[in-house]
Amino acid sequence: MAKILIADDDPDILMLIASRLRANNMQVVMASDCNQAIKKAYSEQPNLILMDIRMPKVGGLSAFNSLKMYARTEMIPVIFITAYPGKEVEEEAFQMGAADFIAKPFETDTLLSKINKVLESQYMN
Amino acid sequence: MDSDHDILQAIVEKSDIGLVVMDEKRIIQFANPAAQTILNRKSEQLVGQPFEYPVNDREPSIIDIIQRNGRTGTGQLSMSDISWNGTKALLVSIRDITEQVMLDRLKDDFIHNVSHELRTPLTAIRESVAQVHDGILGDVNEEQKAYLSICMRNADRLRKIVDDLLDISKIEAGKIELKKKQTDLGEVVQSGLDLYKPLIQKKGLEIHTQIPERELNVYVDRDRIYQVINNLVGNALKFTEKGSIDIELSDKDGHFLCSVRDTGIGISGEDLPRVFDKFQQFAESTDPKYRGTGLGLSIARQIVQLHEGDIQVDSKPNEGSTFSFTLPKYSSTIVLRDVLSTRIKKSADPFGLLSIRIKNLDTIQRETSPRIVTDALYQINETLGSFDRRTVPMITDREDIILRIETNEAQQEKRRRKVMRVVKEAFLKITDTELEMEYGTSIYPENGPAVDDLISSCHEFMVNETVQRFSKNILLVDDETAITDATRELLELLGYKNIQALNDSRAVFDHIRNSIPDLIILDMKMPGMTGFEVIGRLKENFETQDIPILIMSGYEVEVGRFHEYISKKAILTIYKPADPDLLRKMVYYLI
Repeated sequence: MAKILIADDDPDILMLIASRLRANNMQVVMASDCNQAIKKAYSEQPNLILMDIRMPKVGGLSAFNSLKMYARTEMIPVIFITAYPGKEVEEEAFQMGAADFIAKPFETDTLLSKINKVLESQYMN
Repeated sequence: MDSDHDILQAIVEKSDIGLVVMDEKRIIQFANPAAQTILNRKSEQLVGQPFEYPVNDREPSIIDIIQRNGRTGTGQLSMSDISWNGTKALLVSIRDITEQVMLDRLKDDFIHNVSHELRTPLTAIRESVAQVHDGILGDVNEEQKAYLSICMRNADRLRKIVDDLLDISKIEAGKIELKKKQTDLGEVVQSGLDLYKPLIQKKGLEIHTQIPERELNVYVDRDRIYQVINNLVGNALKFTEKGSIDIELSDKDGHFLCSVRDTGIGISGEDLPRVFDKFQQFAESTDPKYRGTGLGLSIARQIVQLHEGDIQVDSKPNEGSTFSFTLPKYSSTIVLRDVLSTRIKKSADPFGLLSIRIKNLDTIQRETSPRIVTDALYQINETLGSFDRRTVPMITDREDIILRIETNEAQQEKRRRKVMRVVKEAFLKITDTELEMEYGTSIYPENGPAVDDLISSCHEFMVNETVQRFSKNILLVDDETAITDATRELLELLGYKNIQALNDSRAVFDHIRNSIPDLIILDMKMPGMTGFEVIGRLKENFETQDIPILIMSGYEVEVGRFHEYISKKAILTIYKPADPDLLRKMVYYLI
């Protein structure tokens, strides 16, 4: 069963994505800010991280940078969630090595298929 | 008692609209106090100097101004003819519109931000209800599901309103980027309809379509046109209780016509003219099931117009409505026009504009001026480097060419001089003459072409260039027929039309005696006369020494005495087997 870490500062979104993922046979770990996200990624070793790009305290992209610095977390693929899709942000995220991107609000189907796609390609490697 | 003169003088002095009078050479003769304030210059600094800002008598131009507090603001200029001391002069009105621009921007930002802020809670609402509905939190009976569906449907409606708002604010701000591509209109219309088919059938309405089988190509942003179809069909569905919805796509001369006809409640005569306006909903729609955002048709119209099409409606109350729109057919002309106009319009906004007038081209130069300008533009764009620059040429039918170069610091003397130097050098390279230039004068000569004319002349020039290029004569010389056949095929695929092949090198000169080719593609190792000998003889003869040659060789060629031509790029070498892309580039370069 895949383990997904969700990091979003909106508790409602956090809970909704979590229940959707659980209903699709995935294990869920939650974080409500970047520091928590980094800590939990380190300790729980999820197969994939779903992270809001705009979060208080540190911000998604810099949290991503931190994750890249630790051997234990640098290989975990990250999908960024954003409320303001715009090419520059996407470009930057992809350049930094993000696995994918999803814009809020999203259809759950889209989210699920993106997650599955990333997990599959991880598995193949 | 004040004389008329005193009264007028008082008006001019106290007006808060800046007024500048300049002579025909654009030298400032007078500037009222308001003008001095807006332009942040004293009278002494203005009178006698050339008026530096772009202004014309057709439409207002927008400029950057520096306000007293040091901040950048926006000014609007307009111009008209007057008589000054008995001679012709020009009156420029200058308005400080900084506040309006700021308010506009605030409004756009507001709509943008609010739309986004609304989306997140909407998602939460919809998703939480959907999860209960889907049974994720436990069993749900049918009645509960039905009520939850009501919530989901309305969350979707809200979401659509937010999306439409965002859409229209982007379209109005001109921030919509259309991704146009060659598209089959029939396919888009069919897809748009397919989305609604189940709903239409569920309502018991008939669907009739008349969509031609073959490809109907247009140059459009497929998603946006799909959006238009959705909108029209969705409306037809919404306002029709019985009867049918008919969709027809027809081929007219030069464009396609798509119409969506329904047998619904129709639109009254007095509402008809407002149908495409924003936020319009009509008397019949006090019934909640008819309510929408009132934005859909307005968005549809904008989209169609952005594609150089037209949309209209025909309707009678209780007899139904027919909405129809046209789109121009796909052609390379349309594509070229679109690319040109996007680029030109983008740089047509004269912020910090430096205009350079190149004067007194003689007849020969005038005839080749489009070419000169295009070449010069490449050079200038390459050299200006760190400047923020975009160039837009204006080709006039007088002796002058006027270049508008957008630089962020057009007002700085040093920068201006550097740009001028670059332009001078670029033109020197091409025309071998040091052209006379002056800068800062108005970029719109009184009878000059508008942006549309410019697009037409650039387009015409480029199309002619292409036609000319592909009609040039290419001579292939190789003893192996397989090679000449293959090369000919490649060249024809690339678009070249006049290709002759010779398999006996000795026949080359007889052939040339009849007609001189524009390019010779030559094998080196041939019996009878080798490639070397052919080149040698060609270069000895005055009439043939300038024919460009492309050597096609199977092995490393020792060019020896032809190295001079190689370095001048009058002879190029390509190795067999020829890479089609490389061949294309080399042939394009040589002719």
